[in-house]
Amino acid sequence: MGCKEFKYSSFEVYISEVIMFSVFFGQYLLNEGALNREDLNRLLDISKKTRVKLGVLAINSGLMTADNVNRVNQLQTKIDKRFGQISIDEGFLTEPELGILLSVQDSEHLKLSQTLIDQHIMSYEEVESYLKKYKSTFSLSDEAFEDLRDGKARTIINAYLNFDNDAFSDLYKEYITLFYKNVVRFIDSNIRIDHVEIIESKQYDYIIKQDIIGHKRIYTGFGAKTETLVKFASQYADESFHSLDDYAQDALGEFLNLNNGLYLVNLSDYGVDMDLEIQTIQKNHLIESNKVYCIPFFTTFGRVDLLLSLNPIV
Amino acid sequence: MCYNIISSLMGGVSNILKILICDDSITIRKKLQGAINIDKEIEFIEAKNGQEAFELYKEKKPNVVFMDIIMPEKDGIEALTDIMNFDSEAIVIMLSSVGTKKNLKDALQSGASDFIQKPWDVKNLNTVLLKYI
Repeated sequence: MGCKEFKYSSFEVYISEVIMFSVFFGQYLLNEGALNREDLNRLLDISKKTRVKLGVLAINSGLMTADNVNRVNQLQTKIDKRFGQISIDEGFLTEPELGILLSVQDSEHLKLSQTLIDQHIMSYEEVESYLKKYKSTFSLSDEAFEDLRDGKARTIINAYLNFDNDAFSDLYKEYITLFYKNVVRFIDSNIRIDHVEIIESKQYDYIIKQDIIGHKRIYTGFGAKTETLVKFASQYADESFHSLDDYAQDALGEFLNLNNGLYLVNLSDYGVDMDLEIQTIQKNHLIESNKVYCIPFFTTFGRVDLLLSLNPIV
Repeated sequence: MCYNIISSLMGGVSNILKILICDDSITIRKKLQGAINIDKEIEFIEAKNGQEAFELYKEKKPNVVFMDIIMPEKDGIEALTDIMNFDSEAIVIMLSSVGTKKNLKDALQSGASDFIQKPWDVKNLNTVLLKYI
């Protein structure tokens, strides 16, 4: 068999999804004669360092027209306010809509559109027109839906979670957003979260814990009543558990392990390498710790508390 | 040691594809067996840690190994190294939730054939498996 070709299959798919829109939209513009190959390659190169602005996001989402964006840009030359605030003042956006747009501002897939405007290749109207034509030619409903869901998760988390200027609030929010998405994906699509609480003492029927280790140690876990966790485990393992037997407990631990593994992959992308300890599960556990953040997740079958801290959860 | 033979052993053994799944989670071992859907008779062999995986590899000589990384006793990279030292032609597909650059590099250097990030996409999982059988 000899030398093997190594491929990181899932990650390849993820990366290609992220850049897919820019590449495909670029190809579409090429086919339409809007750009030549040389310009497209140059623009794709520039777009890697481009920051997508709210105007392009708003046009892409359909929340604002190119005329609206031009109007806000004109007003910005006279009024010392941010683009988002002027858009709200002018009635083009509501605050929740602005929140959603801000939460997806790092969208890689719109960078080519932004670059076309920044490089004066196209006006907002032309980008809007080509985006509309492109979207009608190729169904993007799934992607748009995904963006909205991503935005929704982050928007809710930003709105609900006040970490009182904790220096690590971004780290926590990133973690909670991921946990939220995984609960929606694997456990229950009808969840809501409530405001973060700081707990020092709390009793749980069961608590599932895993430490993330590296230059900092992050203590993670979740706790709930037995009957809630039985249903949680059943959902994840696709089984019908009637008690928290070894298999059901394994499913709970594996869910946390999956979430934390993905969190480490995200950190790795930022150049931060951390590791995971083996997860543990404890019965009738009384937490007595200093400053543990507790984020209540209300599933359709009961409350599950996500627990996060830089202090040991014991 | 723990191993299950899922498919029928009534027929000849020679045509059966042997897949060793090494993961400390029974949830993953069961889910993975349910997710693999190829047109072949399969014998699944299960290991709960790297040491078991290595022992079972020597005993059963599976065609393909799916290997987790973080496990008690002996982790997936150590088990991969042992297996590759024993059989340089072994097909070991790492299957981990922790697809960090460090783990990827370690897996590559230790001889892994592929790397699948958990949670897997079923179609992708089977596509990858088909590449090696």
